[in-house]
Amino acid sequence: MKPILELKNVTKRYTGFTLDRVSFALEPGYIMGFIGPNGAGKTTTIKLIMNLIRPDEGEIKIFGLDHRRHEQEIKQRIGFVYDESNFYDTLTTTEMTKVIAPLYKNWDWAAYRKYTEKLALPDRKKLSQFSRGMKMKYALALALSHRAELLVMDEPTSGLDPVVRSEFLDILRDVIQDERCSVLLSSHITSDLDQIADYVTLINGGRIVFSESKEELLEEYALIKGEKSLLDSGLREYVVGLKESRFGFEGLVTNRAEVQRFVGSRAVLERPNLEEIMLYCLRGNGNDHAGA
Amino acid sequence: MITLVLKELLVQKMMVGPVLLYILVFSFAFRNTGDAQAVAIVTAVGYMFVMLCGAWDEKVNADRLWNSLPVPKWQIVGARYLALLVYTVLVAPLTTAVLALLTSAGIIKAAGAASLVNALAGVGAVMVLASLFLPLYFAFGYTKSRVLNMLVFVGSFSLSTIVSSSVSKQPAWIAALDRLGGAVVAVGAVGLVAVIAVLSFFVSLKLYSLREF
Repeated sequence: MKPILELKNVTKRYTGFTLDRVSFALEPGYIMGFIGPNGAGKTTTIKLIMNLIRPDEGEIKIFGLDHRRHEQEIKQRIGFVYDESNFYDTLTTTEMTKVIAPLYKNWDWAAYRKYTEKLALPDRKKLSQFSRGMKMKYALALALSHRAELLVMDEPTSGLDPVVRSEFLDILRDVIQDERCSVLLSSHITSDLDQIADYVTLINGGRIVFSESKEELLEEYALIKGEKSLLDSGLREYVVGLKESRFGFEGLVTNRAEVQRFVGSRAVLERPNLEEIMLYCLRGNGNDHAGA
Repeated sequence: MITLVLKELLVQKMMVGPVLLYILVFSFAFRNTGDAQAVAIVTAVGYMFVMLCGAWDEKVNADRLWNSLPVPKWQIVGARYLALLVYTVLVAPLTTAVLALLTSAGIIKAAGAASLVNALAGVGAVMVLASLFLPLYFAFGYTKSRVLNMLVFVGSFSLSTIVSSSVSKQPAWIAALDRLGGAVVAVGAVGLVAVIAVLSFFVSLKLYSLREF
């Protein structure tokens, strides 16, 4: 199947930071979690996708089209939610929507009403009176009301309370059911992605660490705890990230099946979550010792 | 494009609503400017509109929104020029009416200034001023362009002082314009303002296209 979003060796250079040959692809009908620490390059990548900044090198294709040459056509088919509201506080949602709706050829008022009702968004209230959560929900309603085939979201759930986050994720789950829409969701909150992501891309220091299906990641990696002597018996080559203490070690290993055979009953292997995979992948297996 | 013009006017409801109040305030502020009173009022009110549009856009980082939506850059840029034109064309007759009312009530003396032609000259003046400022705004954003705006403003007033002192000496070119007749001069002035605005639009568009958000 042709990817709905494809980045190939995309590079963007700033003084003190380079987004370095970023490549990944998203298939239609899936949610990709885009994770990484602050300053890793998530927002820069999303800005490049949205053509808000220009790449120095590389190629971005959306719906199989060059993202700059076919910008308007592509943006008709993209919905977006950013980490901050960019709506005018002096306007009500009705006024703001009346400005935005005519810009989309496929605007669907019925869908808009459905989502605003579902998200309990008042239509005569000024946006200045909206909480952050309500503004994010409003942005989501707009993003879903023009039959978008790709949703691009930059930290939409950060700063939201668990109830609003859960509502947000429920709607995304519903949207993805029709298997026509794909979602690129950048988030710090990996527990959200544990729930809904099909694919996970980890970026750090401007470079992609991995971009894989979540199930494969969870199968491939394992948390391991054991005595330090085990490390010196050849386990280190499987270790991705490590915490050592006087009493032993815990860490993340790759090649779960092989490691299981290697350690037998000498260590405990557990299924990691995305946060643990991210933390250990970023920590590395260098000299980072925890405990004393 | 019309949607974007509507947006500019909607966002500036606070400028559209109390516009009468602004005209009144400026009527008193510019009461000693003679026939140029209406020109000065429309220019001041119009320029406030330009600056406040920029301030609101900066406040909400609106460039990120508009450039994420399916809107070509020429429409984003053009809407600002067009909205200003629409706004000041609406303000011009209001200014004439307010000045006429204040004069007939004996509150101020603005008999000569209270003409629609004078007010429309204000539309031209604000379009020229905005044509100087907007390329800076679209190139650098509101915060940086505000500093440069001071230079534009001071430069414009210095230039207008030079021009008016030159006109008061009745130079040959004024006599030549007089011979052409009012209608020809008016058409020429409108044409000149239009050329300046169109050139400014293309410069703004070029500079805006180079920006990153």
